[in-house]
Amino acid sequence: MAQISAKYPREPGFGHWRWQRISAVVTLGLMLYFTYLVASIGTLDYSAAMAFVASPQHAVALAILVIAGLFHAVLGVQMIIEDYIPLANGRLLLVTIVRGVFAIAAMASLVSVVMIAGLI
Amino acid sequence: MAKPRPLSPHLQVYRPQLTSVMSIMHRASGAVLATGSLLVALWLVALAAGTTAFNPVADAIQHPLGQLVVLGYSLALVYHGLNGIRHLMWDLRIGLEIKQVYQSGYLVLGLTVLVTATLWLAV
Repeated sequence: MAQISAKYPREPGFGHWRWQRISAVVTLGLMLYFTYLVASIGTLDYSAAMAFVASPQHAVALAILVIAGLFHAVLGVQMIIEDYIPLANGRLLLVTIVRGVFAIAAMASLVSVVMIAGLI
Repeated sequence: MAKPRPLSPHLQVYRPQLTSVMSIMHRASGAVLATGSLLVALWLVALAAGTTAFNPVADAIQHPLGQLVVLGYSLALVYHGLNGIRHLMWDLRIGLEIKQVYQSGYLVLGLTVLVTATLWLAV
């Protein structure tokens, strides 16, 4: 990897490639935890869901998942757009919109977790 | 204008094989997860907003159709995660022989069903 980055110091796709893998590894660390949460999400009523998210360890795990997972998602969606949407058909605009949507989702999720955890 | 350049990947030209089908499944499951993660964000925001916002969301999740969506999401999650490990191994140049690629492919498919079923039964 060091050789590659030395050979092509400004290769624009390299940062994308590297961050996609870094965010993948972080998300993978919480994969089983998150899948179990998803499978049990239907069993959580309001008070159970509040108690769950409010506990510090779950709030921290969810915050990490939101940041790493949505970052990974936006990199992946960008890749799909770049493979299928020609530049002339508004590729750059579409990528910008997708980034905006996921940035808003990430911020809204983080604020929600922090509010529920009672930190503000 | 000249004939437009073809866009990659050229899905139509190849006969489907385990390798290509699992590759496009990785991408499709990623798209499902990206969309579904916006719903998870909605769940968190509704929870923070209070019972009046959260109860309709919880009802939608408990509806059989909602449960089907959640099951599809968790299948996509487990597949993308397990196949993601496979991709990361390839990045480390592990398991690149064609025989190993097929073995890990079948392993990922089997484990996806097994892990998803186990987690749903454990709930």
